[in-house]
Amino acid sequence: MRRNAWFAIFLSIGSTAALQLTHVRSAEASNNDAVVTGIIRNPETNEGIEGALVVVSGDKLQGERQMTTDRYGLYRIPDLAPGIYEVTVVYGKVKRKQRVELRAGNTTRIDFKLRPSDDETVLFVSSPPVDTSSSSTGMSIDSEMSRRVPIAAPTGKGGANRSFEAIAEATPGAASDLYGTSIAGTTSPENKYYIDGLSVNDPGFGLNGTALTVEFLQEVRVESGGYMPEFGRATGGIVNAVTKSGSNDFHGGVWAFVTPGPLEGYRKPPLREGATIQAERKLLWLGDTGFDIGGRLVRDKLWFYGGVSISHTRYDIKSSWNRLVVDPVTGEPLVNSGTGFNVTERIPGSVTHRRAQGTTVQVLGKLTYAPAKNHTLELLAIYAPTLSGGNGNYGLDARTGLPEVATVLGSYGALGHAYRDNATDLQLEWNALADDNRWDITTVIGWHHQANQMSPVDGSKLGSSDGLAGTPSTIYRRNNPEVHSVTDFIDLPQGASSNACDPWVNPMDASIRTITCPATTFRTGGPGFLYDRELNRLQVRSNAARLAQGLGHHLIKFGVDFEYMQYDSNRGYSGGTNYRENTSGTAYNDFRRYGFLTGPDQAVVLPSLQWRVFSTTIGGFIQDSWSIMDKVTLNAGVRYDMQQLFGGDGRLSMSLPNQISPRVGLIWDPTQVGKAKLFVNYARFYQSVPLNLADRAGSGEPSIRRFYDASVCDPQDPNNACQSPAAQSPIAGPSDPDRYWLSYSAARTAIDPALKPQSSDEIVAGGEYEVIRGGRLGLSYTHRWLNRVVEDMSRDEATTYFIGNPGYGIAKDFPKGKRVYDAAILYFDKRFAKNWLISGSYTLSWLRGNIAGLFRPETGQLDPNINSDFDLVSLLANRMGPLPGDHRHSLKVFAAGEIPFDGGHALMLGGSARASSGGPTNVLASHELYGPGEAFLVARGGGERLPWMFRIDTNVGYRKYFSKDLSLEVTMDVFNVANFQAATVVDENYTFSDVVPITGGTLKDLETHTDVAGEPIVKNPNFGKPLAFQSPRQFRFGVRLTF
Amino acid sequence: MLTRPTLLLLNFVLAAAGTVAFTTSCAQPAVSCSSALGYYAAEYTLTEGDPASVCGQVLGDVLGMQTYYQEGGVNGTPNYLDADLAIRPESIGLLIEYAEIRGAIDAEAIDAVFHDANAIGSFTDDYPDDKTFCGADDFSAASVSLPSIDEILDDPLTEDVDETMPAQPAIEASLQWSNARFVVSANAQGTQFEADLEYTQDGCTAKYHVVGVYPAIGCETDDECNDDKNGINPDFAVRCNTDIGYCVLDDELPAFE
Repeated sequence: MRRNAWFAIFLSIGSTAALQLTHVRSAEASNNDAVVTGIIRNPETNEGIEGALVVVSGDKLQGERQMTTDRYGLYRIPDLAPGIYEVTVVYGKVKRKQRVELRAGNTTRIDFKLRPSDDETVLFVSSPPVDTSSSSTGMSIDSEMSRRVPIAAPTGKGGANRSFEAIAEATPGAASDLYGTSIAGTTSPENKYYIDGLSVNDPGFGLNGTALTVEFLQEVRVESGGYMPEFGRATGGIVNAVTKSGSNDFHGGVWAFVTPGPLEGYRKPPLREGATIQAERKLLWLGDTGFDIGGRLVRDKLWFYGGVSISHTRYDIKSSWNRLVVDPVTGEPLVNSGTGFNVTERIPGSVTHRRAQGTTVQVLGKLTYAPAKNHTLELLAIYAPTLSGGNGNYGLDARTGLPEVATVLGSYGALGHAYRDNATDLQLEWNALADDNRWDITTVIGWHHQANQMSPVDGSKLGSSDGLAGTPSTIYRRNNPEVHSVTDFIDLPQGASSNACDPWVNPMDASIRTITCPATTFRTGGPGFLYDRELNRLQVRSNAARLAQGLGHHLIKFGVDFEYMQYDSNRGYSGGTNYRENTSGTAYNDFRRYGFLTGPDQAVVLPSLQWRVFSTTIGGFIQDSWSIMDKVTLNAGVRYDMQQLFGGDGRLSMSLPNQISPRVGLIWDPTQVGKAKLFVNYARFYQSVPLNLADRAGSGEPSIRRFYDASVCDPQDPNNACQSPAAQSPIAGPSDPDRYWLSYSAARTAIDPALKPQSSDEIVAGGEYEVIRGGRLGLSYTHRWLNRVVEDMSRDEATTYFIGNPGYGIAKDFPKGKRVYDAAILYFDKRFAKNWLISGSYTLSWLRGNIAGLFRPETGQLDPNINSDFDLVSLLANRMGPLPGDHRHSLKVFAAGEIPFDGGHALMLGGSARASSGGPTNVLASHELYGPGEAFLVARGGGERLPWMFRIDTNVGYRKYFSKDLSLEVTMDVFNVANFQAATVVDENYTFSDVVPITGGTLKDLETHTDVAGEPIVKNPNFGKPLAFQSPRQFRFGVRLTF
Repeated sequence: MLTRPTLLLLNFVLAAAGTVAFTTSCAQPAVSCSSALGYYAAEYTLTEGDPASVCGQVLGDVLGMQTYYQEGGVNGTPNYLDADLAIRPESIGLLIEYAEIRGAIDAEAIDAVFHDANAIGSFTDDYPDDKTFCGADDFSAASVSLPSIDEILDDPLTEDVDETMPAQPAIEASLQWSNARFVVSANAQGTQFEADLEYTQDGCTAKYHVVGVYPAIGCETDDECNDDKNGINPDFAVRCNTDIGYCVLDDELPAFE
């Protein structure tokens, strides 16, 4: 970046900070904090009382906060940590008190009516649940709810330590997807994840980078739509985790939770055409333990909070060998007439076990310091390392939380990895209040860091020529004239008979035989792709809020922020290349290999490819929340963002300027006392582009390939001659300048000069009413659609690409990217008070289009903005239709209660029930260049819909109160009590043949369709069959001591 | 009135605006100079020489091209601003391929014979000029020298197999390219090309102006060239050159509709 740019940023942030020092006498603020506001009226005249003193005090507040009402009787006290407070109004001799519970990100309205003749009274009420100043939709999940209701299931990402994004799924309109929680029809990488206002998205891919346990959290606030310009750079939802803080008293806890695998319910195994080696995944146990403590170092001055959590997940991967049962006379494999699958039998003594396991440690520390009245400094530090795999174990995929292997069609060294995923966060926040709470300024500097490594299981390092890191991986896939036997690569387990896999041989003619332990695909050698990544995000932000008057009340907020993201990506292939056998077994090629050509056949091989890419984003917003006549609130504002991404050569690789996001909302409170609202909101959201795009498309992935004669090259031979000149086979056509080598991807992807950033628009409207004290019933309707999509495209079938907006600019001949979400949501939310809570929602939604979002659910590809959705002209057919997140009906109910008994005993009950209709499935084929699952044979959604899914989870606990603050609880969560086993994923690959899609075709047309070579399509026997079912019944036992 | 809050707001807005103004570069990065990687359909126009001579009758060819980035990037990666270029005519490649099949080239010499038919030049610019042109020059001469190959007649004893192999006359040819330039932008990543060619065959020399478009798409009618799905950018002005059977550019470079 140019020096003057840095100077400008410094100037911007510095000037705000300086003004904060000189113009402001006091302080405290963050997006997650709560606000209490209201009007003090004289009931006789119904006019506001000017000059009343409003004092707010509570455990979460260092000292107390006060404000004098203005001439309309209005007070507004911002920047309160979520928690319970006492609001006291003093006017003359009259004093009123009210106790309120404030929730993260919410504005709570408490009005008072005072007669000058009144006596002192004290009222204790729960705060009104309807936020009449905001039109945003979403949900707050406080620690009471996350502890009492079993939301985070012990499976998948964040399952062991119950991470905050897993509980975000409780939000109305949210659903789990492959990489996290999808909000309002978007994909999880489109969300913005915050911990105390610190952005913790993975700078490379957009996923949540710090999966913090809910044990450290006070509350999780999910904004699913309708949010104001102060939140930006997300086309999905905003997930805010608010950590606990210290207080003047010492509080803390110790906990332990465990989910034992042996108590799991029956896990329905997918019925599939078997591979010779079949794997079964079984949970052994997962759980977490930890402690936290918060208190004071100096009363009302310096507080601390800290904790440690350790979680562990352990699966058993059981593998068994199964041989084909063949007709003893003809040698033909026997076929099960019911399933159409070949009949197999397990080889006795062939069962072996291997573990897949991982451990995460999370350490959090927080200091809250009030250096002067109305000033608060908060320092937050998180360190969260995760280790998994290696030393004879498989690893866990950090992005999904599941074992890295679903099948074991390969040697351990080729399939297993050792992972290290570290997250570090550091943030300093300075809040200042001034002018009797009318100025409210926050300045934040934060740093998010990740280190992610995928290494060989033997501990060797990427780029090394030793060990597995120095051994190429080989993919075997011969099918003509006969397939390999698994015993060509690995020996039968010791307990099995050594001749169990011998082929059937025709006694009359030994050349006719049937392989009984076929290896249709098998991987040996090293682990193939390896990486060592460092990611950083530095963020500086300064926001100010001003309470003003003029035709009502205004709350004007404005701010600037700056973000620098950096991604050091070092990756390579073990042994420098990844060999792949051709289907006739006569040759291998470099399926993946980094390198480039400096002249015809002059190859420069790169043992690893190392880029440092970065991006700068500058944003700013201004918004006004205008309360007119105390009945209507008009929220209007605009946000500006600009992102620039720079490639590995340090040069600009993409510019995304002029992201102007207007947002406007209108809220009417017909009750005028904060009991109800009707609202409508329009908003535009722009997406922040993760750095993976700059690393791959913006820097290039120089790759080369040549072919090797299998009669000379044997990758399994330790002294293999593959790299000798004698092994290389000429492949050039008459006009190819290179006789042996192919080179590709050695260039930065061109950008359409007319490129516009990816954005979506949303209209949300609805109403809420406080139907019972503390409980609100609401109905909302959301219509959200993608405007421009940023994707890469190729017109010449994968030789050259460009990035543009499909359907616009130079890509006007491509179809427009579309995703339209419509949802009507009926919801009810009653927070925990008077020993019970209930929360629930029913969502009726439609999601359709031709792009799911930032990853491809069909293949799991996670290359934000450069996925294969629009890549090739030959792939574009049949893409429009219901998207994978199109679940028509979704019902979620959460409830919890506590029944107190004499002697400090209490019984705790909680539970949840969910039902959702199944998503669409597709009919996919392999594409000639892109491989399996890339071609939509018939229109999207052409497969059978998945079945309905039901789940009931319960929580039962016993709590003993030894004193007001000291209690011990023992809990048992049961997930999927009824052990429902509905299919959640089916095999969508109709065929693995390379097929050109039938535009507008039907399933019937497929019967006569042919592949690209004109041969009949070979149907995948597993097509439409379940690949996975719901998680079985699981128990989680917990014990927690709270003081 | 300049109250403190007004000053604060003013300062803040100025600083924010300044930050944006200092760093804003709305333009997308330029595409660095490169050819397309693959086959161009090229139309040859004779500019000097006898149209009746053996070397003056070339109407067109398919040209295979490849851009080669040189070393010098960070961490051993290529330097995208230092690119060489190879041009290889299919007509010459076919002669070599046939000679190889017929065993007319020594096994040890085949790699050298193969590579000698490539003309290697260098891009003269890092980025295209204002008119989106990237120049390439300093081409090595591409040459081919092959012996004559006799015809093989059908073996009458094998009725089912046709062993016929045609004869190929000896050839001594060289190609010298110059003044090459490519249209380089996001919308035409080196996919339009023109250059001058001095072609010498068996002692006869002719000069041509060559215009090529990527990719090489065979055709019989103009409609086939304007089919949006054939791989040629639909924005290009193209027509079918029925003499050579390929889609070619229908305008001066840059040839857009």
